[in-house]
Amino acid sequence: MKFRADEIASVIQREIEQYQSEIDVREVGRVLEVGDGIARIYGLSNVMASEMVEFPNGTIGQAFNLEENSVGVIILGDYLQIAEGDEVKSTGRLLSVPVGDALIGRVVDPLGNPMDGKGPIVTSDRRPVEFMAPGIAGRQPVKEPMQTGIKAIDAMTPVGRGQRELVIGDRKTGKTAIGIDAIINQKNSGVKCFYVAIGQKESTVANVIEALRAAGAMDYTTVIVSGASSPAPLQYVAPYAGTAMAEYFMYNGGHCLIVYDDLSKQAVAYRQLSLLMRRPPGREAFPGDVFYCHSRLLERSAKLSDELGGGSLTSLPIIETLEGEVSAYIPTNVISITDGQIYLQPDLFFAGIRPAMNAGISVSRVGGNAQIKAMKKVAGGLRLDLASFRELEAFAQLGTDLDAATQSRLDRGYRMVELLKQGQYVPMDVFDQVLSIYAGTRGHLDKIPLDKCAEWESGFLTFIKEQRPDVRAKLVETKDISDDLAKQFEEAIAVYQKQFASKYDEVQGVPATAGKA
Amino acid sequence: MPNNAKNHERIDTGEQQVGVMYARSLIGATEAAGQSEAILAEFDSFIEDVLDKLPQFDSLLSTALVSAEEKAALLDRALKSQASTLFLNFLKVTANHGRLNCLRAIRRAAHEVYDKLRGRIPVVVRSATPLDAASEKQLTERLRGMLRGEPQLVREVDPELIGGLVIRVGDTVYDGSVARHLEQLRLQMIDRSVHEIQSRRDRFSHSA
Repeated sequence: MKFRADEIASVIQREIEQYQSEIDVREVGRVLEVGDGIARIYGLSNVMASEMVEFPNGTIGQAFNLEENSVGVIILGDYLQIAEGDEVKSTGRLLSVPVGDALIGRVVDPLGNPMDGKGPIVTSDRRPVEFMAPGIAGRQPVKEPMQTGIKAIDAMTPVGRGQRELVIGDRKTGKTAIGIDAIINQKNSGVKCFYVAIGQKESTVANVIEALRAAGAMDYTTVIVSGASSPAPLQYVAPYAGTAMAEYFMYNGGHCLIVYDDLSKQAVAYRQLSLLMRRPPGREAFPGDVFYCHSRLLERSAKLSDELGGGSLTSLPIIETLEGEVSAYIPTNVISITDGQIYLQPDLFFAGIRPAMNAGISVSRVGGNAQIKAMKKVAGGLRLDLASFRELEAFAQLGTDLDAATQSRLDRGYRMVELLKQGQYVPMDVFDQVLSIYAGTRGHLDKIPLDKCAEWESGFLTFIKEQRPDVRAKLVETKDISDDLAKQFEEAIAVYQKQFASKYDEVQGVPATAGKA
Repeated sequence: MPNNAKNHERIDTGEQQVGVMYARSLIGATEAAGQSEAILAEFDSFIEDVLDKLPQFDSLLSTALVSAEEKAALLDRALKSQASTLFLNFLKVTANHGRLNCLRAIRRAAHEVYDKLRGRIPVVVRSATPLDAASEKQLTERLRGMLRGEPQLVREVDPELIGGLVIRVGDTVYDGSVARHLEQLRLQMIDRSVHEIQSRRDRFSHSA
């Protein structure tokens, strides 16, 4: 292809002819002091709260504090090039970010600027970063499942589309892994995913992006990064910006999943801003409106009514606790805002139980309606059983002699725990989950040695796929377990038990090379 | 206008607030005596010819180490022969309240209060080349009609504007410079190209 200069010239000429000259009227102020991501401005007498202002080098700020003699502005970008005495202009607009299909598969900063070196993001659609959450009339109950692909979660604390499920735990307990697995599991489900990294090491974020790319999840995922080195104002707006990008799809009838990793760092960034702005500190030095900061963010996750297109935005906020302290300020706040929490415990994690979910205090307040019928049937009492098993286990450690009934309950519990273990980046299809959990809760693993449980499970799923596809097809079709289907399950399991046993009778010590499910 | 001429003077919002209070009282007193112009001129001269030239005197007045009585006595001895009674009294009152460090803010505010009282409005006019008398007169006429007051032009020359005028009244800026028009044209072209690329791409994906 060859460029024709005259054609380009004529386009430019047309532009110039169409150009209408107007006098630009704007409000200005002057920088009094600047530092640590904030500036105080003299002037700007008619600026409005949260209005965008522009510094001479093109950096954007947001009016944060309106005081009698000055305006406190948070600087969204490089504040080192702003000097005292610089002229600041108001723009009359609210902060907004680019949205649309062009953002899918991209890595952007909280203002929507590309960070992945894949060229500009070509879209003219924008949405305000702060947006009112839909009201009561605009919503409907959460009733569609949002499969995370993690057995323990889908069975015990199911998440529905439009739900906010908190992932909470100490550092290094696998919180991010849950978010990543949930994103990977959305492949082929049409759910758009957003991963908001707040205040994390850039290397960690790079690893997450690489993991998503390797799993093919970047095709439907947008990553919004505001790393540990970015100024506090950017860390503070990142979750709102990510939500605005997701809302675009929700209000167009699509389904989205957003992971905020993590909100405790956002609260810390907000605390920094508020203290610099001399807002009065409250508990743990957080400002009084830190609750509102999180509640207005998480309220934007919703399942919209059919009149509004029926789209949904599911969120998985992550909170990091210190030494398991869930009664600290920010954790209690976010626990009370969300529709349930998944609590991850370090001792479980180090005991090899991964995901390290504590079944006793993890709950899902609405997701039960969103489970498919089959899962509801097989996993109904699972959470309570597991919780009581933990108590029993602690008691059994006293070394007293146990009666047969207690021993069998313990055995069942050990095997269920073994069954619910799952590797990272290997989310499981919900029907496979139903099959495994069915086998576990009906006691078909009770006779299997503990260290063979994982092998039994993967072998069983392969067996069903290869030798009894009819059973699985029926399950997929009806999404329910009728008595008839249960009978077929029992038959299939009986056949498989024989195969499994014979394998060990014949070739002692050589593990079966059963394919992964 | 001192406040606009010294555009990069440091502003302390606390002092500013104090300054407005003292300035209002000062102008109230001078208006009553009918000597506003004279007192303001005296004030300007005191700041520019005394405080600016004798920084040690300035810091002596500003410091809290010297008591208010001593400061008042010092002012009396130093200025009695030259200053008017009203201005000297004003300085002594300020000294008694320990606000001599705010004198510059008071002067700035006093000029603003007085200008407002007389219906004068400071207007900063920036142009690429110095304005000639005819266009300046024309501009003043237009501004007079627009502002309902007497515009006080402060002229600034900034070749980076290329052409046109940038007029600033209070916090509001009316920007009619060629530089801004070019910038706006550039943004418009980018905008249109983005639209163009988008519509082309949509066409592409629909046909595919």
